[in-house]
Order: sequence, then C-alpha cells, then structure tokens
Amino acid sequence: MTATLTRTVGTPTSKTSWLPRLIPGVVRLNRTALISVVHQVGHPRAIILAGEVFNGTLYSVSTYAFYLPVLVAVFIGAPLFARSLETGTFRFAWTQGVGRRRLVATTLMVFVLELTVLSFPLGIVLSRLWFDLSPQFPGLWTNHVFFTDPWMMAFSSAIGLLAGALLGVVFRRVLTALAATTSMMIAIYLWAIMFPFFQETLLWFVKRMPSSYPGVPLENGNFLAHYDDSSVNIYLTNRSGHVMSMNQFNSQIYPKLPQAQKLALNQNAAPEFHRLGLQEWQGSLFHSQFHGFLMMWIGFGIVTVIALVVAIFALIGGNDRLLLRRRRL
Amino acid sequence: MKLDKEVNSAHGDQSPIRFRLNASSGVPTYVQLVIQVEQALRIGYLNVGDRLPRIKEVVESLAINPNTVLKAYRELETKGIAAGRPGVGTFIVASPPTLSAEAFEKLRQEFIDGWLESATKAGLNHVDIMTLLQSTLESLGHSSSIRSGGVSQ
Amino acid sequence: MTSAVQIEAVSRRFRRCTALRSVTATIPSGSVTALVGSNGAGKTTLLNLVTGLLTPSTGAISLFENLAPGSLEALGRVAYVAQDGPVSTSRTVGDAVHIARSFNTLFDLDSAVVRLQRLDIDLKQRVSKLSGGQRAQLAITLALARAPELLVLDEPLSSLDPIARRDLLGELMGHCADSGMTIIFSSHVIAELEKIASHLVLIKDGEAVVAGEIDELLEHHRIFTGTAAEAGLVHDGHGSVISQAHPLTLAPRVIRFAVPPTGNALLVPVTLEDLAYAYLEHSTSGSGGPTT
Repeated sequence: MTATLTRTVGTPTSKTSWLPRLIPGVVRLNRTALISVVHQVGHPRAIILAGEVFNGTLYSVSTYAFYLPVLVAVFIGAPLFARSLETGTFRFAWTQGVGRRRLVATTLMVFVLELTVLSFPLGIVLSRLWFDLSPQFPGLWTNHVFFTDPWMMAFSSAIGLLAGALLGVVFRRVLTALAATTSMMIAIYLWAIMFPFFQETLLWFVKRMPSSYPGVPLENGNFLAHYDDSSVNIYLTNRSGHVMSMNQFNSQIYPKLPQAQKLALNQNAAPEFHRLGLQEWQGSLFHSQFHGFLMMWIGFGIVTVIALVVAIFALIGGNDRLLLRRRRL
Repeated sequence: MKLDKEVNSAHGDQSPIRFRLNASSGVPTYVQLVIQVEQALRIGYLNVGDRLPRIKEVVESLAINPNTVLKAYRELETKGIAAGRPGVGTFIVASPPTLSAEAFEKLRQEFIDGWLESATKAGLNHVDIMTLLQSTLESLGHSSSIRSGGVSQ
Repeated sequence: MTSAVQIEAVSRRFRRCTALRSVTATIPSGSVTALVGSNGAGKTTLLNLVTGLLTPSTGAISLFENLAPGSLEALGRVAYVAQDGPVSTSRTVGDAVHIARSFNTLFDLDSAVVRLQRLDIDLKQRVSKLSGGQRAQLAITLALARAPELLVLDEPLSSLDPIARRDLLGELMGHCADSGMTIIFSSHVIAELEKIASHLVLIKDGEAVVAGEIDELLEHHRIFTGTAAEAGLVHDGHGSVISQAHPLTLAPRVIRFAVPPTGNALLVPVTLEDLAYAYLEHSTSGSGGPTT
C-alpha cells in the first residue's frame, strides 16, 4: 500500500501543553452554562434576598450562602455532564484526542474558577453591606459573616457544583439529576434548619475536642459548664464529662436550675459572656463560629471536594492518564 | 461499443483512460479494469508511454477499494503491459498484439459470411449465439467474459 | 503486515444481557473492514470496545499492536463516528468545529471548513437544526480532519442519500489510497460492501462467525446446488455446509472448503452477499464457525 501519512504532531509529551488549547474549547462548549452562572451570582435578587433573610432565618445566617450553592448545584452542576450522557454526545467528546478525564477535569476547573472569581466581590459586598450593622456579633467569626466570607462562598458553591455534577454522572439523565440534586439540597437545608439535628451533628465533633478548663461542679443538676480556652467554645457536660444536647439543656434543665447554680454557671462562663456582651446564659449559646469551627468547616470542605472529585472520576472510568499538575479549588 | 475519446486540454496530467464499472456483470472489478485497459490499447486510445490513472483518482470516482486497483495494475504488470515507476505512476510499456484495421475487417467479414450465416439459417437468435460463444470460450479455458464493462471516455 | 486492531476472545456482558460472547479477529493496518450483523447482534458494542468507550468483560483488544483502546495515545490516532446521533452539545456548526480543534492536537481546520462548504453546511447553522444526513456528514468531517490512522464508523451510510453515499465512499477510499488509513465500518446493508471492503467480520449472536480477508473467503466458499447429502459428498469431510435449506430439496447451498476447490464443474463461485446471508441464517449449534 501507499505510504502512511506522517503525523507531524503526535500525542503531547509535555504535561500541560494541552491545557491552553483545551480551555477555549471547554469554554465554548459550556458557554451557555458559564453565562448563566454570572447571571445567578450577580443578579440583584441575590442581594435583596440576602437582606431579607437576615432578619430571622436559620439562626441569623444569611441563607444566600446556602442559596448560591443550591442554585449552582441544581442548575449548573446537575446538567453539566448529565446532558451529554443522556443525549449520547459524550461518545463524541470522549473519543477525541484529549481523553475523557482531562476533559472532565478541565470543565470542572473552569466552573470552579468562575465561581471563585465571582464569589469574591459578592461575598465582600454582602458581608460589608449587611452585617457590619450588627454590634452584637462583630468580626469575622460570626455566623453570617462567616458564611458570606468570600472563601466560604467559593468553597460552598464549588461543593454544590461538584455534588450536582456527581449526581449527573450517577443518573446520566438531566431531569433525574435535577430531581436528585434538589432533593439532596432540601435534605441538607432541613438538616441545617432543624436546629437539634444540626447541633447534634456538631456536638459529635465537640465531644472530641479537648477541654482546657475543668469548670465548676454544680450540685443538684450535676452539670458542669466548660469552656475551652483555645477554641473559646462553651458547652455543657454532666458530671461524667458527657456533653449534653444543648436543646435539652436549654429547654429542660437550665430553667429548673436553682438561682445559685445559674449564677455559678454564668460566673464561670462570665469572661466569655462578657466578651460577647451578654449578661447571662442565653441558651443556645453554641458558638459554632469560632476558630475550631472554622477549621472544621474548612477541613470538611477540603475532604468533601476531594471525595466528590474522586467519585466523579471513578464513575466516568476511562484508562487515559490524568495529567494535572495541581488541582485548583 | 461507443467510442468517445476525451479531449485533453492539459498535456500529461490526466490519464487518457477513465474507468467505468458494470456492477451487475458478475465479473470481478479488477478484471473489468484490466480488460478496459487492454481494449483501450487495442483501439488506440491508450498508447505505450501513457500513464494509467492514479489509484487515488480511480477509487474516488468508482468508490472501490484501492487494493482492487492495485490488483488490476499488478495483473497488467504480470502480463507485461504496464510497469510501475515508484513515485511517478504506472505506465503502459507494451500493448497486446493488435490487428491492423484491414485484418480486423477481414476476420469480421469472414465471421459474418461464414459461421454467422449458418447459425442464423439454423435458427439461432442473438441470445443463443452469445450463450454458445460464451460457453465455448469458457470451456476452452478463456477466463475473460465477453460482457465486460465497455470502454468509454 | 501490521495489525491495526487485535481482538482476542473479547466478551462484554451487561446487567441484563450478554452483548458479545467471544469475538476474536485481527484487522490489518490499511484494510477496509466491514462489520456485518443483524441489529442487536453486537456490532455497536464491538465498536464501542474498539474505541475505548467500553472495556471488555473478558479478553483484550490492542490497537496498533501495543496500545489499549481509550489510552491517550490511542485516542489521538482513532476517530469514531457514532451512529446518527448528535455530534456535540455545541450551538452552531462552527462551534463544533472549533471545539473539535481544541480537543485534538492534530486537526486540519481548513480541510474541515472546505468539506463542510462542499456539502453546503453553513458554519453558522445550528446543530440542532441539521438534518440526519447533515449531522452524519458533520461528524465525518470532524473525524477526517483529525487524520486518524484508524477510522471507525457505525452505520455511516444509513442517513445519507445515494449520491452522498457514493461520494462519501469514494472519498474514504481516496483517503485509504493516500494515507493507508484503516477503516472499520458497520453495516447491515451487504450489497454495498463488496466493492469497498477488503475484510469482513460477521457477528451473529455475539460471536464472530466470519473474520478474514474477503478474497480469501470467496476463494474458500462455493455454491453447490443439490441435496444436503450431495453437498456433504462434495466437500468430503474437508469442509462444511453453511446454508441450511431443507435437506431433501435441490437448493443452492454455500459450502466452505478447507482448501479452495478446483476442477469441480458443479461448484459455482459465491458472492459476498450469498456468503453473508448463508452465515447469518446459519444457526450456530456449538461450533463457533470458521475463520480464515
């Protein structure tokens, strides 16, 4: 037979030479979705909604911080891969020279990058505009400030995107993925909003945190008040050191304590109360916004992101090698 | 046979012969190509030194496998009619023995006045005659069929 | 002769069915292989395995002697045109072309644009508004622009009109002649195959009952008209009767010979169609069928 065509450019040997070429294609392919992200994040209703919900929801946390990840997960994440898996166009994309893993990785990267870049100005605007007004909770570590922190917003919307994308890969149909993602978001919202459940989950971690101050033994109720100096947490334990459900303490036990015990409780926790500008124990004082909590959230976030990414790649399979020098969050 | 010779405006680039296929004749494709070359040589539309069409041209216009054309050209090489020059093409180097126009005409007349007259008188029609000729030639060991693709330009 | 695709005892099971039971075939480099079988026989599954979209349950496929399907090196050298589906979720044809360009290191943009122009497909046209034939042509354009060493087509002709079919086949043959590209295409229309295919793989009930060079296959098969017993006498133990007409009728039967027979005036050459139909109708009762 006649001579074989000499291929002037073979498979790329350098590790990231394909990336600059691939990104424009990925952007072009997902153009509509990328534009709708801007629309979701920058829409004036987001600001308005954030202001509205401040006045009494979800323990004073602006639910916009939850609103954005939900939007992103359902409308951007779920159809991201589900669409091409459903219509069969993945057969075209996954047999191109770039390989399915690089394609998926670059797609996720482009969206996460866009979300990060857009979250920053929005987060700054939200936290400055609305929450500096509150004298009670100054500083970075108060709930709503924390959740509208730009890094947190970028993080949570990235997690939302990945979760939606994962469900899209699991179900391989857009509508099913949408339904599943919405259900998942509702479940998470219910968990967060139903305070006991939320707190019980956080208590699990609190129990494992070391206490630096033994606290004061109280008489009749066998209750000790501890506060952990390093992470400035206040939680209640019984005599054997068993951390108690805050809900139970607040509603059933504290009201029945004799005055002396209440006083002792408040006195021992006084430095912390004082710092927060409180006069006495005000129930539900579970300071989840302090450093340890932040670390916990960030740790959680990183683990979740990694787990979601690994799950996505496990599901799409493929034996082309993934060559990414660093993974951007 | 219809005989149209292609007028070449450009010298040398186009091969004088263009192949045609008779898909339903039952004759293998490569054999048809060989026969068309031989016929063209006999009639004089191909001469020694002419280049046969490039394989790519042939397969593009006829939608046949390149191997088929290769086979045909190799067969012509085996017969001594063509020879390949690597990188340039396949060229005619000799032609099968041709009859002069008069010898051809003489044989034709002999056929008409002789055998054809007796056959027609005996009652054979056109189809009978073709069948008789075909089976006789085949039984005598001539492999090529009469019903091949005709030569056209 | 180097092999483009080597399929060794490959099977593929799904949760509810077995698409391929055991397929062994070698597809030489530079050949044009027709993959034939009835609908649902496993053709598309086999093509998905060759292109790396699926992995075999058992057995192995190697491309270009030592590459795994789906590996980056293989992906760069193999182009797949899936059956009749949408090419891309892009909006316009021009988008699809540029996306394909960014997804491949080797991509001839100019030739793709020229080919689309020739076919009257406007770059600004929406992909969703293309007809089935135009979609197929777009997919083929993008595949050819990658100058693949192996081109895999799943029923590429089914949505094309006769002229487009002939033009496409001619074009593909031209590519073969030029670059030695290997082509595998699946088809359930057998009549068109004889002119363009050099090799045949015939799938029946998840097995490759025929796999080999067409010329050789035709050499080893003949048609004999007679009863089944007479046919048995003809091959005399050095072959097998493929056709399954009623044993007592005088029917044309396709016989496979271990050695090409000579000198038997009762044997008539077989066409590719005859051969394919005979094998497709033949029910495999145990034997896996002959391969050459």
